[in-house]
Amino acid sequence: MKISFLVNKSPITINSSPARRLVDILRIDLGLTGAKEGCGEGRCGSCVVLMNGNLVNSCLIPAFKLPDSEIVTIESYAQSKEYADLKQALDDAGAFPCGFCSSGIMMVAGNLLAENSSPTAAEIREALSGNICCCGDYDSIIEGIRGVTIKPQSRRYGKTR
Amino acid sequence: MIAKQDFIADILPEDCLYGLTLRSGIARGHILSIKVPELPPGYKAVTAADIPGVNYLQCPGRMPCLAYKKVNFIGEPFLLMAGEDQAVLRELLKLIKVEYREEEPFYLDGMKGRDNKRSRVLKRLSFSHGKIKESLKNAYQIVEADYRTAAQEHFYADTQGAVALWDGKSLIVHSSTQDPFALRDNIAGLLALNARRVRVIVPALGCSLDGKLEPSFMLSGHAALLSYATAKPVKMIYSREEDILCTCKSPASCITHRTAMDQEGNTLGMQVKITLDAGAYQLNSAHELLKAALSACGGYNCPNLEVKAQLIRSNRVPAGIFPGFGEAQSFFAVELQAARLAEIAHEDPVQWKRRNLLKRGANLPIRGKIREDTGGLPVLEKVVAVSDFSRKHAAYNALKNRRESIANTRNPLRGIGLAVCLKGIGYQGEEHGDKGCTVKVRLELDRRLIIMTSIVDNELESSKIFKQIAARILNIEPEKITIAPVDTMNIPNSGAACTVRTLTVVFRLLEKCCLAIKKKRLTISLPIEVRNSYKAPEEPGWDLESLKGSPYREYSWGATVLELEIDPVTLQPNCRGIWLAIDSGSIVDLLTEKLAVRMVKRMVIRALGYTASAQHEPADLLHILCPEERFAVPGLLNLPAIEIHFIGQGEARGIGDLPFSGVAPAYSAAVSQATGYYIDQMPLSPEIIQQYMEH
Repeated sequence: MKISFLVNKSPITINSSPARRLVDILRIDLGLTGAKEGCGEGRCGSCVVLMNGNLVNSCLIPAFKLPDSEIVTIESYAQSKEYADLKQALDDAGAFPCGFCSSGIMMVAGNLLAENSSPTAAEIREALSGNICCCGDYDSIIEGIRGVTIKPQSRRYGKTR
Repeated sequence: MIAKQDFIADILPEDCLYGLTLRSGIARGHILSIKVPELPPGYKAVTAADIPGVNYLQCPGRMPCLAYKKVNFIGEPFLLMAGEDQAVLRELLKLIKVEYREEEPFYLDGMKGRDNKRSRVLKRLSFSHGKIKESLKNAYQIVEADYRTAAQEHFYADTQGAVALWDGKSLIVHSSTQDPFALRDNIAGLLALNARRVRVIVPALGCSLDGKLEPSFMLSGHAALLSYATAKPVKMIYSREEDILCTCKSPASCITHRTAMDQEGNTLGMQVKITLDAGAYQLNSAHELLKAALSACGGYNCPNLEVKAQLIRSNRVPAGIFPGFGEAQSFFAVELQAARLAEIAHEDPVQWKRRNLLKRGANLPIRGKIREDTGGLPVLEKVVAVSDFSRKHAAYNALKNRRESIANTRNPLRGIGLAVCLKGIGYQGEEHGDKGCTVKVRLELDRRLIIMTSIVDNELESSKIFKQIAARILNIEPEKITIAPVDTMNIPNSGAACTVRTLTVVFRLLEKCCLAIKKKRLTISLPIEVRNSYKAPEEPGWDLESLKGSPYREYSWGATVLELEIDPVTLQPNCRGIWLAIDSGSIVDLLTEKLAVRMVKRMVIRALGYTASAQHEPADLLHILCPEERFAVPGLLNLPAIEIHFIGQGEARGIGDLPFSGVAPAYSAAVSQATGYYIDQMPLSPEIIQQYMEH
């Protein structure tokens, strides 16, 4: 079937079987390899993207759900200033030893921070409940996300407060 | 390390074909015929008959790269197919008709664990110390129990993958492997090529927990065969289902303990029978058997000891390397036996351990001597103090005794468990794994430093530590230090990337290289290149036959306390807290406390995932539908508080897999206390706890 939709604000038209997964369309057809396939069954959250403004596991989205939808991937989010702040804060916290789950977690964290500029640790845990870090490095992830909200100014100007 | 970087699944060369594998649907039997339909142009099938070199992979035991005539486990590969469209490939594989003559498979389970049929025993080990028969004869009580652990899945972040490019003269393999040089040699043998014509490049590697060793050889070998046959690049990536079905797990175990006790509850002697399941082929499991046997009596004083260990061939997927490496299975058994002995002696487990743990400077029954500055007691005391173990243990016992029955209670069932484990560091026997391990360092004209090693950066964050060490010694800014990409053309062989080797050998080699550069800088102009190799002692420091010497250079100790509660209706355990005290020398100085704590915490979380994962029969793996059962890595919502305390002094030793040895027995001991039933197996899903209560 012929499918037209928006990916990172660019109109895309592809020919695809209705059951083809969004993660394959993004990674193989469009070369957007930022979303990773971990478990392939919606458990690990490594393939999270935004679909019409909602977070989805792209391994669970079949192509027939895509017409007229708008998809935002980590490649687009990575162009934003919010991403740069989040990345710096996570780097400072030493998060993501292997980095495989990072794009999914950053999509979720970015979405959380857009809705709630200073989430508590409990709110971060709740938001990331659909993501798995196989390294088990959750402390640094929470520390990093909280770091964005606690000291954005001080980090930017090299000060502490 | 954030967001977009190239893992193996992200690599897609131009004009690349995909490869898929046809696997055995039966556990044991003969392949009578394989009928492949006429393939469309551009599609190619490969079987064992098409392999130009030797049809086996050595890691270090052998297994066929593609099964020829006979299959020995569900999921064993026997045909490969390459083509440009994965959907077409899947349809073509379905059209292949395979005729089998099926035979009765053998699986190791609790009852059959003592099966001694000669043809199934791959290796036997036995050793004794003191007079075991006499101690059993004179015992006031003999306590006997069987303990079982199922095979454990690695659940690495990214699944296995490989991309092979054969250009008619040489082969480049991109592989998610932890041991690029052994992989190179295996592929060279498979394709009958000189090893210099095979180049292995390792992309970014997700955390792997030693799961990217044997399976990466198999998959990369398959991709190489298809690329060789089609003369095109071939990419193969396992789906999670395929990965769980066919890649190596930890060896399942069945361990029987018979312990002779005196009237005061002291251990007079231990008789231990260990059976490990090697799966269909013996790969690394002989070494795991040895390590399991050496850990048979844990860290306890045991004047009389007899250990008999055997490795059994079954029709499960071959066992491979897994953190714990045989020791985790042994500690699970001996620590649960210790908890049982304390309960029979009506004693607090801490008191029992204080009396029975080996003291500083004591001789281990079969394994050298404990150093004067270390031992099990300091870690025991520390973990008991920080977790408030004794008070909680007594309180939960009182709760249990007041309860009439689990069916009538609405409150959570509470329990707390304790385990003390040790880890031998630097095996000194003949098969010295660290032999030849090499690191190279080059200081360029512009004062950039390049570190060359085949240790792939993974969950240990070794790159970060490499840079720390070099920056400290050579006083160079960390941003001027680079780690060379892992490519067998350009780097020396540092052996397989595993935590213990990296900590105890590779870091020390790097230190030596940096110190040598520091010294040479005064006399030699830049660039300076230095390489350093590990030199194993000429005489092995340990002889298994005569039990002379010490099997390990040194030991690290760890004590674990785990507290949990169980929902009385669903029987779902919920871990409330985990405390670990570790003595591995001044590891904190080497890694920094933050890094060391993070490293151990990660292992604890992974070990915790195993405790509650479901156990499946091989045939079930073909059609499991419930994702929660398949991907047993704890998420953020069900993560307990974890406290790590390092108490060691002196030279840094490896931490090894202490969390993998300690978490499972502490968890089972806690479930035992909560439910009032002796628990003797791992993993423990609510269904298994229900079975204990029914029988």
